Amino acid sequence: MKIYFSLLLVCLSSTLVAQIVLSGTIKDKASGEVLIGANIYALGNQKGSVTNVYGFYSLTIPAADTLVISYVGYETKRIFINASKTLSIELPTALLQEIEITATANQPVEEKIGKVNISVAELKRLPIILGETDIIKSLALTPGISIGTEGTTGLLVRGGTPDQNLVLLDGATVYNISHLFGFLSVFNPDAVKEVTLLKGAFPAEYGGRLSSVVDVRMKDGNKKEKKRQYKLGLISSSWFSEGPLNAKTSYMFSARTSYLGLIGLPSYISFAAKDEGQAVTYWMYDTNFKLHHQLNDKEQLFYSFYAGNDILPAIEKIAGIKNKVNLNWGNITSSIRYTNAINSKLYATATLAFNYFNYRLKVTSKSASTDDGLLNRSSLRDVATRYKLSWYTGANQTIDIGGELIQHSYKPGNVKTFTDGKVDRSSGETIQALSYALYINDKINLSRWLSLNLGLRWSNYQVEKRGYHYLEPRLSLAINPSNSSSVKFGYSAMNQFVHLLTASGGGLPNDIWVPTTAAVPPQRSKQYSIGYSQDLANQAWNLTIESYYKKMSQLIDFQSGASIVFNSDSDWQELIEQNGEGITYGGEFFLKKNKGRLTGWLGYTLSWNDRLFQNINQNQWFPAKYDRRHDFELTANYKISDRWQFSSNFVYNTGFVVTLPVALIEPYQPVFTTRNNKRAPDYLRLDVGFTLNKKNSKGNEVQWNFSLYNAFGRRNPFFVEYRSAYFAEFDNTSITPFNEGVRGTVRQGTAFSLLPSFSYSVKF
Amino acid sequence: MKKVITLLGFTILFLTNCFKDLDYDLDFEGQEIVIRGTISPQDGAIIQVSHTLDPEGTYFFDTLDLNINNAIVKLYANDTLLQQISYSGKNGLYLEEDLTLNRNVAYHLTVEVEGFPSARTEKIEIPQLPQTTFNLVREDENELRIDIEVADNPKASYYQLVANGYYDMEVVELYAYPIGTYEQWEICGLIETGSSNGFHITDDCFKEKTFLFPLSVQIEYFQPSLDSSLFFIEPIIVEEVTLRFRSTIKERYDFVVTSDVPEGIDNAFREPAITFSNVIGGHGYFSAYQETVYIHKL
Repeated sequence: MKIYFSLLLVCLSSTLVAQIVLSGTIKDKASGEVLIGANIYALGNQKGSVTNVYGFYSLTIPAADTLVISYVGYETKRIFINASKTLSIELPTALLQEIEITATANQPVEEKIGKVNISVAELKRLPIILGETDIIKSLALTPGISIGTEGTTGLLVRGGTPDQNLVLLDGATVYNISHLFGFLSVFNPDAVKEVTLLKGAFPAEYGGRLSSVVDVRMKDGNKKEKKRQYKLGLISSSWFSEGPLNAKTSYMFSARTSYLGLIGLPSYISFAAKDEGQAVTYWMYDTNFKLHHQLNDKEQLFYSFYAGNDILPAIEKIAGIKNKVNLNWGNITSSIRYTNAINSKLYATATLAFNYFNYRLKVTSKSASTDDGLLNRSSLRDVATRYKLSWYTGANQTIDIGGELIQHSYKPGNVKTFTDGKVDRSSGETIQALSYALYINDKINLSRWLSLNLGLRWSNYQVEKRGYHYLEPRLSLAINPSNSSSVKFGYSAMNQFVHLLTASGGGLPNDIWVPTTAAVPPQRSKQYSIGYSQDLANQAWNLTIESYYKKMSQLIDFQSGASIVFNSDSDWQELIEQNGEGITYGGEFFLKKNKGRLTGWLGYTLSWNDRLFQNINQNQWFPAKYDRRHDFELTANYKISDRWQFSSNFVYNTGFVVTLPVALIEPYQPVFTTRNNKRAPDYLRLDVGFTLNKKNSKGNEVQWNFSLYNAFGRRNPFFVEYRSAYFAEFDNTSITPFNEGVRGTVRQGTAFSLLPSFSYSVKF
Repeated sequence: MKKVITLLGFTILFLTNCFKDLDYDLDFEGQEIVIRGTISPQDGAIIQVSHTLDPEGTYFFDTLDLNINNAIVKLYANDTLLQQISYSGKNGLYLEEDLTLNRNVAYHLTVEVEGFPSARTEKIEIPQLPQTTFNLVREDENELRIDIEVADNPKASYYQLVANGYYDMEVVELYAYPIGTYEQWEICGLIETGSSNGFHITDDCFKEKTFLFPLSVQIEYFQPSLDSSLFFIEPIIVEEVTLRFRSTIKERYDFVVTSDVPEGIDNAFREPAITFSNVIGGHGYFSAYQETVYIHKL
């Protein structure tokens, strides 16, 4: 610590010398959107800065110099500076050919370790499958990150579980990240400006989750002209519009819906005609809205809103009894943010955010003599306030100081049952909790080759008259032997005050979010990571190799054989095992091509992921549900011509683990001796897509996309189960079987096989 | 619950466009001995010996016989041979009624069968006799309400109820269930045994206090019809009701709990429990009980 303060004093003393202080914002010239993560680099002084999420930068240099301002997909600008000033810069979009060349120009190489960043330009270059770019699926195509199985939504980062990701949409937490059981992301790519995923070496600003931070920023809205786009697709259709309301205010609006449920329409028509049989359908929608208001040169106000819902109704009428099921789930998020560039070295941000996640299952059963039903609801709501003050000291150092206060309201499982139309039982509770945190984070470039990011977060949680208080140290140290290579070491201690009870491995809507309570302590983790990143061939290529070790404690899981689905009336705290431990470690390899007609990446992860619970698997370590030894991804985007583009993803990973019997002790009685003793078949998928960009007769940009999801048509496993099934053999002479018995088999269910789609969009 | 299952079924159907049988090696290590054994001071030793099956096999009911009738079953007390249990002559059952079994003695079994790996059980002890009183209330013509008052004992945490009737010199199973909702009793650890005439329960709901256990027993017996066109004839009220209230041990309870295997779509939503076994070199359970018996003549 003494060494750290000595270094700090040395750095701060340099600020006493007369210097040139520059600050301002960097924006897209065409739309006026601020650019996140743009680079400002002083050539002579070899000092640089990066814009924050509001496009703000601050750079202090000792003498007059030439600044190089660059950003992925934009033309690079050079400006000579000889005095302190506020300098806001607008960068024009590079021509298509130049995009290929400038892809990640000047992005500090150390920033490529432990982080996945998808900028607005890169969003356009991601493969378009099923009619649109999917942000979550694209993230899952990078090393260390995967999704569960097809049909589940969970994002699994470095052996973590789906609940261990802090997903933020303009500062508001998003609990459910997918529509249609993982088929579509809740993030409409039309509305998104930038996505950043941190999987290690977390800054102290972030807390409350163990495995990752996914920070999604919506577009602020075009400040210069109105733009609209509609998209018609086989899977979903959407509308997008943005533009200025006046000189200081802009808006962005998007809406999307899916009519995949049309597949079920024939069953509904048949049901309606016969008033008998079964019918099921599905639909979803989401909408994004944002307002940006520039109060003055220094202050800005943002309002962001998201609402999305999935609805799955089903009905059956058999023997005069009509059963209706209505399942719906979704998120609402809303945030107001205020920013103030107090001066060239101080930048303040205040956020008030609200989020609500709701899952609702209603089942009714009616006949001539009965009218019974069940209503099962689970929800959670957060109201959060955050404040952050960034101090750009001028000595290649940024100190962030901030805090947050979040009021949580959980309803893990409210159940009402109806008999003869009257409520005969109502159960469930609301758990109120309060979390608050204070943090300080110091990012300091000690020299051209050495930088340090040191943070401390004080996390607190208050529930049921019990408090949990933790100090969470954060550290990352980057050694940069050259401008094109970096070695980075990271350490993070994290605590998580919410758990996801899942019996399916994560992602089905009936997974229940449950809080830390007086009896159920928070999840905890310590992660160590080390990575090496090397830019090659003038940044045409980048190679990143990382390794991590994460130890988790105080995990929870269902008790052996328990399921919230089948115990919806029970207190969830009675159904869980506590004090579980987890160890996950592995290596990640990432080779990315940024330039040329062919861009894309190759990713490979080798990992181990184990769990230990006292009363599960006889207190022996067992592989976690999504322990995957090998995870390989190849993503390619080839620009055939100015009009045609080819996209492809190839994914291979080791099958998920599954518990299968080793013997039978009765024809219908399997014996299980070890949890997760077998693996499902390996997962293999190839997606291909062609995109045609052209202009229509009115001069509007038109895009056609044709794609094949799972072009091999491979039946990848959604679940694997053991069945000891009864069979009977009959002859023509008797209704009594001449032979009957049981046959044991292992079978898999497949969620999606080959799925063709197309989309058509017009920008005007 | 059926409604929830219906929903999940629909969901799976909606999501799952096909099923495929997989060719798996399930690590079946050959046939092993299965023991289902209990000992009690009241009934002696009741041991059933059978063997395991390959989980990927096909079995015809008319030829399938799992029971083993040539086993050498020995009962040990504090590592000393107490008795070799003799074969009853049917159903793989080995019985010995005349045994003196005491508390605070460690009992275990060994089972030898030619062609099978030998099996032995872990050691168990006899639990304390449950302190119960039975109060009968005749609810209506075909139902008895019996309040069982149980004094909690720190040395007995697991209980089992078995309800039988007696009619025309035959013992028949009677439907017995605790009065209240299933969910209410589930919290107390209630588990159905698989047959309708009994259940297991823990003392989770009545630690350190006397507990009143309200029980409903159906006293009518549906005798199978001799006429193949009818499934049942009119119900018959039994002549006698026998309730056996047993204190058991954790091993028996755990075996029942972990034998509840998820089936069908349930598989996709919960992990199967590791099947309890206290048989080394085989599978199954070796348990002990003490019981108080209540007989009511109708």
